Amino acid sequence: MSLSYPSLRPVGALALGVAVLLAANLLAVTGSQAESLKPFFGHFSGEGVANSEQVVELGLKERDLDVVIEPAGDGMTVNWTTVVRRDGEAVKRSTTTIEFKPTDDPNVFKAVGRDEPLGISGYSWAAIDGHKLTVYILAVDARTGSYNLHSYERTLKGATGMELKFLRIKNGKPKVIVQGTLKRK
Amino acid sequence: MKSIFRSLFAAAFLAGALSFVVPAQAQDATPKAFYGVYSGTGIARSKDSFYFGITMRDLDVEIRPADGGGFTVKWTTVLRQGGTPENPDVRKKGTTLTFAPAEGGKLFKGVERTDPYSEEGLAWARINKRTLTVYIMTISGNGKYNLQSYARTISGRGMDLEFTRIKGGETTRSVKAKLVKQAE
Repeated sequence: MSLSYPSLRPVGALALGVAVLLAANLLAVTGSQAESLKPFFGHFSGEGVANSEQVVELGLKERDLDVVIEPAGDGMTVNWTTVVRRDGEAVKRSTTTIEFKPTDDPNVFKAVGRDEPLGISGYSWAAIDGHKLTVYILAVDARTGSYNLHSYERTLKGATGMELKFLRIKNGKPKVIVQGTLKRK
Repeated sequence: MKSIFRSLFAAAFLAGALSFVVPAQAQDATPKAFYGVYSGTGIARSKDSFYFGITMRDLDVEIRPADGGGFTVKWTTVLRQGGTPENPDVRKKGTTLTFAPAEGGKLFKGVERTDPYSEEGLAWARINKRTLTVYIMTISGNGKYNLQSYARTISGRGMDLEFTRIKGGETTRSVKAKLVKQAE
């Protein structure tokens, strides 16, 4: 028995229905990713202290901390500024901005433009674990092969608070640890 | 008098010899310096070693040249942990990685392992003085990383190995071993 064109119509309708359901499911997943990010959106600022031996010896342990986390498509942009103080006076200021996009894993985000772990751009990703958002940056020096791995753990505390724990590992050894407390502005 | 001259001559000869040896040691070795077959035994420690004790490892490594100025590192680890003293659990793990030189000359990129999200992960190697360190990094489904490093330092009779595994910023396992060169 050969199938005539009209007899294919129910099959086509079924395929269309499945496609619509799949698309709706995909949208729902994308939506849930944005949901997990929502509590972190906002502007936070505060102070921190570095406790590695070297920075304490140099008198560079005080930090002013500021971070803005905003939606960007289905992902987010994290913009943070750190001011290093010595005896109350600002001696160094650095700002970093990274945009993250969703991955297949609902709580993992890949950085846009930082996707060459052994290249100039380095490699960055972010992960959410409950109330904690961690941003990682891996940089491998092309001249020497040595690496720096930075992690910024930002944990929401109550309705308006955030705690930061920054760790820098250089070639397997922890180099700088900063712990700070921030408030939502 | 003769013995004084002899001592002075010996001291001058030693100083001259050292002036050649020290700068040579300060420079970074080339991959060729590591080629050969090595085997030995190591001691593994983890953060639970205080409760469960240390464990032993039998280790073999073979380092050979690869195309384009790179090299291949092939290693086998025999682990003895768990079980009973009379009948320990024995597991054998083998890994082979090929590295190609990057432009700077000290960084070597893992040829087959280029994506930290993949099961194989990202691999790279560096040579610093007389130490060849191989790094393997993987990122799991929850975004947490696992970074393993194998630092192999050429010593007089063979090679010293220091392995560390860092998870979430903490060293969760380390192995120190001495290997003897078995073949060129």
